[in-house]
Amino acid sequence: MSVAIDLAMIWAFIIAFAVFVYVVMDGFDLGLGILFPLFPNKADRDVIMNSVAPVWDGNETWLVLGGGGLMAAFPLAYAVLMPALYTPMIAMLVGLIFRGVAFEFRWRTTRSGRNRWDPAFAGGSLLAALAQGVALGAILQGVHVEGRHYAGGWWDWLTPFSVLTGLCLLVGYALLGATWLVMKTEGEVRDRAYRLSWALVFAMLGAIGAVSIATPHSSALNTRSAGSHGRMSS
Amino acid sequence: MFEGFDAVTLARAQFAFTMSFHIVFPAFSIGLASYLAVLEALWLWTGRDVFINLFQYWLKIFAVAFGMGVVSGIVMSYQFGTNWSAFSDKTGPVVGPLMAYEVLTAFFLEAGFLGVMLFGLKRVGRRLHFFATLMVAIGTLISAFWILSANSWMQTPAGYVVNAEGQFVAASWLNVIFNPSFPYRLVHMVLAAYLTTALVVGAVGAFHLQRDSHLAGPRVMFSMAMWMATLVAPIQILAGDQHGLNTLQHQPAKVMAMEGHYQSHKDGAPLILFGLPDQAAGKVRFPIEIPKLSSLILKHSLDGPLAGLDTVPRENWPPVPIIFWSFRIMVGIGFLIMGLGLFSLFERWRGKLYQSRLLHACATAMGPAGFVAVLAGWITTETGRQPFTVYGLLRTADSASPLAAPAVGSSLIAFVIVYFAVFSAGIIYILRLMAQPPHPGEHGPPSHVPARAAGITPVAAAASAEGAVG
Repeated sequence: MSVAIDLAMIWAFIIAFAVFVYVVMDGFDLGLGILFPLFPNKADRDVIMNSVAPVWDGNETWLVLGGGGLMAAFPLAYAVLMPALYTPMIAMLVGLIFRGVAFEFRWRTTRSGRNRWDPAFAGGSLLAALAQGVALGAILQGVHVEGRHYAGGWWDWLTPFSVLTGLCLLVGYALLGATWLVMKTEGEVRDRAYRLSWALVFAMLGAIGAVSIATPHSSALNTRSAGSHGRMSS
Repeated sequence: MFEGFDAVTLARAQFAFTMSFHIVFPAFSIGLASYLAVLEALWLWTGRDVFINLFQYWLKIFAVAFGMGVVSGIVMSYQFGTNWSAFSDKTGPVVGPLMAYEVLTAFFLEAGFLGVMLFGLKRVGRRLHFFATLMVAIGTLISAFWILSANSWMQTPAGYVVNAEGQFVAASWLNVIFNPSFPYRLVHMVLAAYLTTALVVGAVGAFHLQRDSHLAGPRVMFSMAMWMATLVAPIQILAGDQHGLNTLQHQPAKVMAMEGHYQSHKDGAPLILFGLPDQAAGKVRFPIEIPKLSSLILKHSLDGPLAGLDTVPRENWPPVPIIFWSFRIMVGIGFLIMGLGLFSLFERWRGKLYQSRLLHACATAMGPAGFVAVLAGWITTETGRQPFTVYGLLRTADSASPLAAPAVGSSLIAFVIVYFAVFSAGIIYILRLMAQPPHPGEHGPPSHVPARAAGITPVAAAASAEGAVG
């Protein structure tokens, strides 16, 4: 039996590591999408897109590993959580589709001037990030389980707390995106990113405070099963 | 809004829809990645510019297709949990690790080297760049290996035990991975990917040869593609036949549906070429059939007995009409591809390969045929597994998530709208790239910021000064 526990621990660490790397790595490029409206200049946007174009695909691979690893090692948790997070998950996938294809598609439009894949990149990034933050909050506040199945409805995830975590993740990703630009670009883009980073650092501190204060109250929203399965992947 | 549908039907529709879109891109990128590796190898070996021009030309198309494959693939990997949670709970210990292996071995290999392949030719040197191309090509094949292993296990489960919670758990990973139908399915699918790509490459080559039969790039790609069709189509038909015999052994009901055999035949079953399967009546109406030929194909004997669906409990029948027709579409296209290959061989022998208008028209028309055949083949094998997700062990109706129909219906509509908007745009961009012939000094996907700032569409001639030959 001790072997099984060790394996479970190892897998928990692997999945935690995958999710951590995903949040940091894809946080950079989702953050760029969130900040995109603040950089309306086409040349700036080209610079920003190209700074992540060679790596975004690799970054999203960690997300697939997190999901695949959860299914492989903790199929029950996967089977309970995914229907519980149905709407945020679908929203995240739709967002990732729009932003993912924008990397290539925006070079392929023949229309000059405003590029219609730029809003797809910005909107897709925003939607995916928000959905991930909401999903995190929904896991923290717990889901309704009966037997081996999720037993709640398809809007159970929507609470003030999950909306708060969603908004806070936007701030976190935006900060990552801004610091990425400080590291990867130069000139005017870098200067603006530098100023944004400072504002976002304080916003981030506020977000950490807000979530910390709200978390103890969140599990009271659902006393039936703030389950260990939910916490595992958070 | 969704009163008329139950959640399982909607979930199946969603899986079929997202899967059908997704499979098109890997089928193309598996073949194209290998083709790119061959082109780059030929360039390094011969030093001829035509090969690097073709490489850069197809690399741009590959970049667009690969991106669409990535995002539609992420949807698939999460859909098991969102829509098929009961399936995930029961089969996760077996299917989950196979998919995790795919991520760990194939995706990281592809993702790691894709950036080098797309943007790195001038930065890392020729040898390292070729290595990156090779790794991406191998990555796509490893990906096919694991996904087809997982799919084959659902078709012909092996090497498992069932634990106290009713979950399938691996007893022997070797038997799980190399389950009985896996080797056949892997060969059949990889060859299908190669043929699909060959048809696309051949169609693009033929399209441009129709305008100018002296263009070097279209000549080379057309000739290579026609060799592929000539040599591989007969092998594929043979592989398909072997796959069918394997299916007869392990999933006889699927073969009965493919053949339209509702009734058993004790002394030689006819091959039903066409007819209208009537599932309710349990018979094929208006059959056009050749006596005893089915027994000859499946049993290698004119009088070999063949059981029909009358030996299978009614509740285990797969939906025959779908399988009957999708199978005929796949096989029909297979023979058409072989015919195209033979036709090209004849014109090649006559020395008219680059001049034959009829051959070029046929090859252009058959450009999308490979995709149709791949889809028809997958519909045959997946629908043929019904009404089970894990053949004979777990019913589809018992696999779905505990979700209400409105949830599944809404997400289905969302995916339909998004997929048509996004992927039709992508297909238009690919067709637009294909409509241009490859130019001398062709450059790869856009990467250099200063060079990009001036224009949006990479018109090769204008940018040929920075051609990627260096």
